[in-house]
Amino acid sequence: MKPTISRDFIFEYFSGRATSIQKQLIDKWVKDPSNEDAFYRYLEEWERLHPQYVVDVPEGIRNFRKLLKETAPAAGEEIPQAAPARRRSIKAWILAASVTLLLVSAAWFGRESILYTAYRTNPGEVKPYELPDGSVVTLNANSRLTVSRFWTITGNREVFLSGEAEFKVRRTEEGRKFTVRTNNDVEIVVLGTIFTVFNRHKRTAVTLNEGKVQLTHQVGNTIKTIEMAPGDKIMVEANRPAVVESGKDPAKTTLWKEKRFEFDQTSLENISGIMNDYYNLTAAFADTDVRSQTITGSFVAANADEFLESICLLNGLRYQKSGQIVTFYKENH
Amino acid sequence: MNPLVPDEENHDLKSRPGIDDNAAFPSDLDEVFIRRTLISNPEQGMELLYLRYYQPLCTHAVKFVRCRQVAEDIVSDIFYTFYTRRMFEKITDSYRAYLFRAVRNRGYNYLRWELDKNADLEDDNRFNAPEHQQPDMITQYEELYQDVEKAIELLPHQRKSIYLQFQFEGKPVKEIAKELLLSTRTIETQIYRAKQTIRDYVRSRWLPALLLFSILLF
Repeated sequence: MKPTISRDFIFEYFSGRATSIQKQLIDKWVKDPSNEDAFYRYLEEWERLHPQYVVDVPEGIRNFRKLLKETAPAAGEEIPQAAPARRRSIKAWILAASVTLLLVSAAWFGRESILYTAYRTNPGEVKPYELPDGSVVTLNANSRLTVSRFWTITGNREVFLSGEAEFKVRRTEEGRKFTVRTNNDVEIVVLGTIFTVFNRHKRTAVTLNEGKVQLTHQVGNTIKTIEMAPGDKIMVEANRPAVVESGKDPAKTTLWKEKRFEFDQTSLENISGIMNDYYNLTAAFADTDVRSQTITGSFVAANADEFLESICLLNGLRYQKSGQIVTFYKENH
Repeated sequence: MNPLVPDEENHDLKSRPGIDDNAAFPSDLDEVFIRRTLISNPEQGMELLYLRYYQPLCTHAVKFVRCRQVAEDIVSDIFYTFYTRRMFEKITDSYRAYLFRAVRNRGYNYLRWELDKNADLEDDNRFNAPEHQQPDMITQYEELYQDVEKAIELLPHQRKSIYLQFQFEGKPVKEIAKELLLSTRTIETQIYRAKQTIRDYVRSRWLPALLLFSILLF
């Protein structure tokens, strides 16, 4: 009979509680390469759960870099080579070199557009896009989504988001994964589902409407993985443990799709952040107490002016716009 | 509440219990990602590798060598070879398996060399022992370092504490003596006795293997 070895079984063994018969079982089990891989996974997990001490990882990386520098051959120090038997004319070499340089630099500077397709929205714009696999992404204002051009060839459904977007991911027959990455190293993996990602100012918030999502992010030196359920909202910020809230109404997360705004005791200061994200506007306040005023209410605004008018109407304020700067002041000013 | 912004006031909300605790077992996705980065940008890939595996590898190595400095040196050396010999291109199974196997082999060799050497002779030529002399059974690795751990556990309380400060933390004898208000001579004796006890305990259980090792050497 093939021995079946569970995680608990191996953990007992790592903790030194396995009998000699059990050890023999493990020795046999590990002979299968796939089991050997599992063994080292369990070992890694065990070490993470029962560390002997806290290792200074950044220090390790620094030492590694230092070592590389010390051992790298000094610049200008060339390895002597045997003289070539036949000399090609210098001119031919220069020509070949400059053509190569030209091609390489063209590829380098244009690599973004060669390797990726970018979808973007302007300030105040909300737009849906269909991806090559039939998934639909609705981008909120000032957002950018990059997709590899080799998607269909490599089969890796991977996109990179900065800004805010709703994803309606289409399930594939082969069960291929769909991965969303952000600039603060959050990774969201799904098969087919609907969810919203907010990623601005190095903060990421993910809300799940339907299906199942796996979110990976980094806290300190460890990589954490969280499984999300519908209605969950996860907020990730650099070097802080993720915050999870359950029972969210997903419809509220995508109010922006109808250009609807909903505020509940939201300070004008928070709203100025939205103004910046959505319309590239900077808010200024005539008095400090204007800044801390809060707004409660809901409205639809098709553009920046409608947005500002609604805010002022709800708050009894007035505004003056010059260029990208908006100054709020009290009516009796 | 405004649903558009991840609000500040919610950050003090308690994380749902059990969620972050489960995260100790990240998916294989990292490995795919690290592999890809190593091939496109080896130096950046090495950083990811450090972030991912340096901690668990060091804490595993320290079980064999009982000295954090030696453990970190061993792991760093493995990473260095991994990088300079471009092992990341050659390894077909997981990096995790490769790295842990390497750490265990080095740890095993180090410990065997330490047990085998003459207690008074620091520079023993057996240090350059062939590294391919490895146990046939994977469980022998655990047995070896668990025996060392058992031996340490058997030490009298103060001797154990002195030994661990010296061996694990790498504290100088003088400093330990100052803190415990004891003479350096006493500390040295305690360390010597602790080492002797551990050596005798492990040797008694591993003698056949060690003998075989010596025979192969000469």
